[in-house]
Amino acid sequence: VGLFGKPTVINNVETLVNVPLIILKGGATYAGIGTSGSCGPKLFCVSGHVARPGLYEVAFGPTLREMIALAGGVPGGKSIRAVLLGGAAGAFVGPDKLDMPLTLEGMRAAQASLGSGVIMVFDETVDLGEILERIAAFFRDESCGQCVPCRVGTVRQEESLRRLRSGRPIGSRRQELTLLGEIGQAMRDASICWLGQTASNAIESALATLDPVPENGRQP
Amino acid sequence: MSDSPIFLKPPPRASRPPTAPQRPEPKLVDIVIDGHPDKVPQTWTILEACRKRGIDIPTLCYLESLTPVNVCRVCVVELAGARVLVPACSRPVEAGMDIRTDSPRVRLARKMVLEFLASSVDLSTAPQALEYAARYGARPERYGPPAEPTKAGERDGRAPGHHHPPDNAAAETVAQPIKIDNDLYVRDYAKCILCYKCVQACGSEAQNTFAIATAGRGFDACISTENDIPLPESACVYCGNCIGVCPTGALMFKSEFEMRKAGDWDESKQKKTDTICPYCGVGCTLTLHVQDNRIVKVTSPLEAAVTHGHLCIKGRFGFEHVHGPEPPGEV
Repeated sequence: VGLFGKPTVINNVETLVNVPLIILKGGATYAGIGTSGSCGPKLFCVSGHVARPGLYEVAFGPTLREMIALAGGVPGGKSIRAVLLGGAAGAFVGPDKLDMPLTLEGMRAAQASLGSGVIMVFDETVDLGEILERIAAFFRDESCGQCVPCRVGTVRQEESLRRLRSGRPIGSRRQELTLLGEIGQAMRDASICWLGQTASNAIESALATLDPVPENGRQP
Repeated sequence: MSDSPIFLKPPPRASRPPTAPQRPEPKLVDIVIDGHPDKVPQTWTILEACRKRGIDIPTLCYLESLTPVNVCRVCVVELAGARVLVPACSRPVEAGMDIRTDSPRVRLARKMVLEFLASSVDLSTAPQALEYAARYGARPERYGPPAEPTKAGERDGRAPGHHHPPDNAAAETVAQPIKIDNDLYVRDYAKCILCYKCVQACGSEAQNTFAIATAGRGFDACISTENDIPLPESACVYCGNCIGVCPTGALMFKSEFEMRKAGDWDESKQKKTDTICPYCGVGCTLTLHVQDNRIVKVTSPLEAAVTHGHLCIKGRFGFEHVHGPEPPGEV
């Protein structure tokens, strides 16, 4: 198996670009960049409500607050509502987590993941529930349809989220949230691939700590 | 030695019957299933190991005569230390595996898979799926009332990657009008769970005709002929092997469909008789389903050694002449 029937390695360009660095600088020097648990440089894509969105290369170590400052901070002096770490398949963190170090060991300790290196900043003007709906719609569109948990689960997740947002849960709000949680767990446990397995990450992380769909309809 | 040419002389009789070459016995590995240690051959899947112990693991997309595709995810089991649940039908056993077939994670995953199916697919002619749904406490009503069925061709025509946002009131389903475009069998994709068995049987696993395949993506994915052309225009050879493997009745004999519609289908009045197909030398076993002295359906047993449940158009549909000519005045 493999390309042309030969053993094949598939890697990100970012990973492969580190190889000549290691060869030229030597392993020990390379390992000296960054922290003890995460060595080498890292590319972070900072986007959303920041003054200078873009791709930033740093040695592992800066905190979330430092990365946002590097990108010019939140324009207009607005406060941060939430940060999405790792893209649509990643997790939301609240403004109380700005001092978490963006290293592999730091993320593991916070039970989160760097994922693709995306740092997407949302300020106080954002309707977080609407962002979650867009993420749910994205996963429904991108599901390949091969396995039941993801093919139907992403549809049911979007439907449930929209019912919550429109204030018309089936049964009580608590029942609807329980349903969302079970859909998320089934996708996480039983999907064939990472798409289904991460389809509920962002939504569940936001629901757990950020109250994105408040009961009274007003954003906190 | 006679002087007749060599090709007129019969070959000498074999001294022993031909046999397959000797293969080494597969190694046995130690595994634990639900706390009980066991030794099974290395080549077995978790499903085979569990079945040997008499554990009934539910399956929907698995068939012994087809390569497992592990898409329904109802057979998932928990492995101690693994991040996700694994499909028992396709995962080979490994030494040291600690398999849990009935843990809370397994029961939730199975319940949700069955709920997803029961809330989006018509399972009325899939008794096995309904039995599993009852066994695992699936409650498809949790997702709200089903949405209006789509019109003919609507699902087939959807572009992948785009969908209309849900209307906040109904649960979307695959309901759609039945495709009736030939005299032999009907396709009711409102009942399709995308188990992929029909595509396998039509393709490289049995018939090698490749008339149908999966089209579309995500929830809009469906089984289709190329560009959704009518069956008579497609490569279909009407072997009926897709009907034979379909677990939900989405593919059904036209005779059965018409009788069900008229309320005449009654399995308690049917007698099943096994016979050998008269048409050619292969000798497939036919199971004739007879109701009121008429053959209403033909299947073939999975265990029959010759073709393991597969037939051709002659064996599957070539039985009308048995009933003799229709009396004058009847169509």
